[in-house]
Amino acid sequence: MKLNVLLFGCLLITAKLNGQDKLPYAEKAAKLQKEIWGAPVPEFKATAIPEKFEKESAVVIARSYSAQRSSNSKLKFMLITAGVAIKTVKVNTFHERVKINDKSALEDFSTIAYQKKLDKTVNMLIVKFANTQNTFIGAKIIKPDGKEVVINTSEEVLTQNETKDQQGKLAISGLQVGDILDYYVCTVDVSEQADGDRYKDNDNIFSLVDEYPVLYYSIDFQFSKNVKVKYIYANGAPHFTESRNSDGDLLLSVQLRDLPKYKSQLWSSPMRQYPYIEIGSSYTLDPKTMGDNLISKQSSMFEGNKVVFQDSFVEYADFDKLVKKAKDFFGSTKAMKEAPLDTLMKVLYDQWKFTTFGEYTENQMSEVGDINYRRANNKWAAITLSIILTDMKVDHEVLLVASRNSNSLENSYTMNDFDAMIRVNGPRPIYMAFDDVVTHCNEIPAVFEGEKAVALRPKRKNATKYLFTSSETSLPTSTSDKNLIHEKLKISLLPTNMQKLKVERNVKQTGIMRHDHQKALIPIQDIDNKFMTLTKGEPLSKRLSSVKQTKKMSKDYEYLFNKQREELSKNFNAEIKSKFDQEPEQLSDFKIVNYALLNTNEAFEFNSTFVLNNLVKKAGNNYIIDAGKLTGGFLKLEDKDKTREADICMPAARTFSYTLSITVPEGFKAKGVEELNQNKANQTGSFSSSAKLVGNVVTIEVSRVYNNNFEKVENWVAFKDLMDFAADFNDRKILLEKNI
Amino acid sequence: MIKRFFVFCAALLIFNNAEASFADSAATIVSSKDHYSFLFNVKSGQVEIKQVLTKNYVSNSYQVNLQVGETYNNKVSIDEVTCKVDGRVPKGFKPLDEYYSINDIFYSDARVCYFNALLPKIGSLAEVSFRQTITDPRYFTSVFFFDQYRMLAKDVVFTIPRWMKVELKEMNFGTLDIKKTSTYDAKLDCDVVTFTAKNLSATKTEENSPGPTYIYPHIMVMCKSASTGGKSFTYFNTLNDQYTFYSSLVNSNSYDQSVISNKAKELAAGAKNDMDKIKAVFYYVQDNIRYIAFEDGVAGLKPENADEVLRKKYGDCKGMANLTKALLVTLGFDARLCWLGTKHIVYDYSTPSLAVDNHMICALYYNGKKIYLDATETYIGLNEYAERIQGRQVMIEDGLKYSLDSIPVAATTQNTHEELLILNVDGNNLIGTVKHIWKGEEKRDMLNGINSIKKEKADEALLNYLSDRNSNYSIGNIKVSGTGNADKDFTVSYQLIHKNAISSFGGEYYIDLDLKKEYMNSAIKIAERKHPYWFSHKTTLFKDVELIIPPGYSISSIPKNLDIKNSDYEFLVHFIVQPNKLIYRKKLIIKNIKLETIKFEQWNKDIESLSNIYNHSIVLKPTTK
Repeated sequence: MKLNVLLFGCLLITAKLNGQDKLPYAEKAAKLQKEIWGAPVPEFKATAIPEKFEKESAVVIARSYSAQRSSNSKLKFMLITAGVAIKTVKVNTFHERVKINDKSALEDFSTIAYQKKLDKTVNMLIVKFANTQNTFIGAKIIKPDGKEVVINTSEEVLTQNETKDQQGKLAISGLQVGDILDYYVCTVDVSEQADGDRYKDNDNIFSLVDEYPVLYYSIDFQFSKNVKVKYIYANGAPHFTESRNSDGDLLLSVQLRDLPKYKSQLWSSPMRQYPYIEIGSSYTLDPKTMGDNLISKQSSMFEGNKVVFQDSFVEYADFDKLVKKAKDFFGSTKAMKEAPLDTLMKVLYDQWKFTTFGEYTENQMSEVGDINYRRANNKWAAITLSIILTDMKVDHEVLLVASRNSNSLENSYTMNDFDAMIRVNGPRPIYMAFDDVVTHCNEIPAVFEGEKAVALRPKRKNATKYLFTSSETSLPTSTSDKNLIHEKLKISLLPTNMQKLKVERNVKQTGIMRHDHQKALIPIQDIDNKFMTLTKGEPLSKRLSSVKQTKKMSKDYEYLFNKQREELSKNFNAEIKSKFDQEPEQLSDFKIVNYALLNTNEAFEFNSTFVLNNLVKKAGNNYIIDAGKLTGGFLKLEDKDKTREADICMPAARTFSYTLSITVPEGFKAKGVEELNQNKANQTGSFSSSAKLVGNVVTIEVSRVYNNNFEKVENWVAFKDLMDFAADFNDRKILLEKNI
Repeated sequence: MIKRFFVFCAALLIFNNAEASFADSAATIVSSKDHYSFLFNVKSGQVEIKQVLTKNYVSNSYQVNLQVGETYNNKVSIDEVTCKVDGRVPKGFKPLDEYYSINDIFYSDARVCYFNALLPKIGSLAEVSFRQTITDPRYFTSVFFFDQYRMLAKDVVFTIPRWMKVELKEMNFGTLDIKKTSTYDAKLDCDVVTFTAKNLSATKTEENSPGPTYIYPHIMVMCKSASTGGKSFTYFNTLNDQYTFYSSLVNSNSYDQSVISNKAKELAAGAKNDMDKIKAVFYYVQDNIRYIAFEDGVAGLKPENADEVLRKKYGDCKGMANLTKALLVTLGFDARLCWLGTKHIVYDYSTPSLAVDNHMICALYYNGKKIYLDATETYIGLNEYAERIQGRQVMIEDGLKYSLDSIPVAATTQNTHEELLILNVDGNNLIGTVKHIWKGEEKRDMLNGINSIKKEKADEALLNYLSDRNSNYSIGNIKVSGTGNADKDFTVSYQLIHKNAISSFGGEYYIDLDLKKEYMNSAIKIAERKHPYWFSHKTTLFKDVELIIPPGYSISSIPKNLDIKNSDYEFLVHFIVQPNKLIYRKKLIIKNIKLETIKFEQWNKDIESLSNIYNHSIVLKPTTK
């Protein structure tokens, strides 16, 4: 941790500090230092660390975070009128006492960078709207002999030194391995500009695991009584003790001991697996029925955000643009109404996709590589489609769901913590997820599979008000055969150099397994053209010219898209390099066979031909082929991942299969083929390989199946066994023996 | 390292911007002109250089976002910035000014003035200019001819009054189309020297390239003296002037003698002889003073007081050299400060200039010999020298005089990694013992790596390194020594079980004895690489594997030996058959760190030969067969 608090913005204030507002910076700093170091709790006096932590890089002996916030409204008199401004004062103090045990930790804790002062106060004639931030830091070193050395913070250097903007850096002098560093960072924010008053502006997450062992950790909040506060205890996090002082201020406090270390592991989902506390506060002048005030009234942050989401159902002008396009597509309203439900939904979905991803801005020119990676605003899309479907009287629900890789739905804190999609109810449900340009209609993104969701069934009251019935549901999970990679490799030894392999490769990918390569390999122009044709949409030049900012950019985009297509070989090259861990030679015949942009054509398919090195060893007159490595290799666990305490959260149930056809050169015979026949299966999946020699071709069929996207840790042994078994295949070889 | 490049010269600073980016074909500079005029500022009573830098760009694509900037510092001011795109000032045009963060430097006074200019169409034109003033001629050191964009034409014009003595030295012009003309302007009593360059390719950043002063055309500007306004100024007319300037910064340096003396006594306590004392001081500074670089105006040249460095436990090369010297002098040794340019810089002190050096170390005169002490290099022993300073000329303080010397050039054996294995066949596995010994810069690199990792993860990192992340390579009973003593080799020994190291077909064993296969993927992409390749240091990698032939087996096939020797490197791989054993002996020596582009083809051929050996298996067959 290079201590960098330039972005450390946050909370708190005490009455004491309010009183100090007018004090010069140096005096404030001195007072704060006295308060923070003056009467420490015993944990902040400790110097000993348990023996078991001697091999740790650093040990946090004590850490405290205290935050105070007061907000109130007051009249601001301007020349003509008067308005109400909120004055919010936040004081946020982070204090830590760390034992430095090695040079790595010494490096981490030896410098600190911070925004010392920032003044964005606005003067409007006779009225001033304050907005200031001051940061105060302090550090002292406790030497092994107990001697305390207070760091002279005036040794800082200012990298920005304007009256209203000062940024500082301080190198901690005298700090050595074996020392204890006791330091604090305190920020004081005063604002009358209402730019940091809402929950979203004051959202703090306290992870209760750490990169270092933490012996003691206290978290304290104080909020003036009119400030609204919401918090979440996730994954078994301990609870605050709540109380109020004589002024009615809300006091929240929790003390923790012996925090575990965070262990970074393969296939984990930290926001689901480690305890954390999320807390925020709000004080707004919104009407009671809007925004944060509406959220504050609900039982949880998720419920609050759900209500705000529901309130967003408003029939804006041209909301039914997609319906008009669908009508054009079908040729008449009658034809549209007579279309089967699934056809109609697919047409609407494709129209949405083309409308969304067929638009380009003037800024995207400089980042053409990112265009295929654009993500839709799924909440906006779900609301629009839901309004349309309601109008069309199509039975459906809006599903609110959180990613498997993030917080759970019930632990959502802000609107960004969950997503929205649509389920159309019919003989078979049709799912519409508004994700990326390659997601199909009725394809559920892997991150939502198996997740609990809240289903909102809308009912129109009027153009600006919809009513909802809410229920709980779960999203289905796809099976391993739906998320498939199948590769066919025709392999031969180059006659000119038999230690080089010529590979003719055909790859088919379905489900989640196709997304990454579709976005990496398909030229933007091809995607655009496909959807334009499919939806009978307008040509690119017309679309660009209909928007003011891109009105004259038709040639620009044409040039850009052509240039991107010219670089297609680079994308194929990169794909092969990542697969086989080496730069391919003589890349040729690279081609996308099937774009798989529609759910009627599910498998993304591409071909390429190239030469690989270092997979054939010479042994006298014979050659040994690293057959196992021709699959690209199966994942091998690192030692740190071999023991596991957390459940296994994988992207999806999935299948990898390979057909390797190796031509045995004339004058040679293949040995070791039969040893490639192996298989193993258990409840978590399977691995099989079978090989046969027919004529002069050795054909090896390899299959690796992961049955589920999630395994309980109880299954880890079985899971690991299968991984080890599959990884052993990486070392399998075939001997090509010279005929005598 | 001081990295004082950033202080000296605005033109050079442009390079540093450019170096950070790849060759960019989105635009071309159709014309560029740098005009430098020497003037006497009556108000300040000093000579100044007014510089006007103009560039005209044409866009080769659509929506090209030109990033234009000039870095400057407290010896340079930016007086005016202009920009026009297709004849108009861009809407809201306002150059930004901020601190310029430089890698590895904790703080410098470098700032950057920059703006973005959007060229909307192919053929769009941009004209940009910067007017700047250099307030001290000593800080005007170089003018470079290159940019991140290709340049069709560039003029560099110097207007030099006859009262100003300045030398312009052409560097790396080679076969480039750069012409020089000189005229005399009688009205102004000035010489006007014009360099006209055509068709300059864009810069290209490549790893392991020589420093920019080796590879890019530029003019070295050496301001010697001036006589104007009734005053005379001496800049760096001779090297002695430069030394006088440096020593004035050093001489104004004072420190609390008692603090240094106490520390020196503490370090020397228990030392049995002078060499013990010297090592105690050198290794203390190496190990206990964190390298943190400050680069702030004159402070960029002035060493921090020795007692302050000792108190802070951090410092840059100047401060560390100063502390080393102070501690040694206190103990009665003749220790002195030295200035030098590392291998990153092409120049030496034959051209007095602030651009010549970027580093400070300490020289110890002992028993008629000089020992150079560079405490910024951790884990390297006394009398061992890092490649970056080897052979470099040093200017050593000597009261009012200076002396010049060169840092010794170390033998390739200074930096070695030896790996000794004794292996037995055990089914499909190889089992045995392994010992590694690292010396010199090889040792430094290993220990720097280990110590940059958190203590609790260091063992795992070492195992990952030793096994090349191959989970079949199982290490047990590991013993490590020499981590805490710069005087000793760093050694690691362990028991090995290398699973599946043997492939068995029809009773025959196919064995690969080399796990790491050093340099196997080191072929240079000749079509892409533009600059010479410089290795970080000379090195000797030695591997000796003794394979015990199992009873009932004999050697059926071994690869042919490899013997590649030239003045730059040696690749020697030998298979030695002895009774019941096979010795695989590999020696890879980099003798010359500079691999020139004309040698790339041979290098690639030699790498292919080495790879061929790596891609050959040893075959053991049953003796009954």
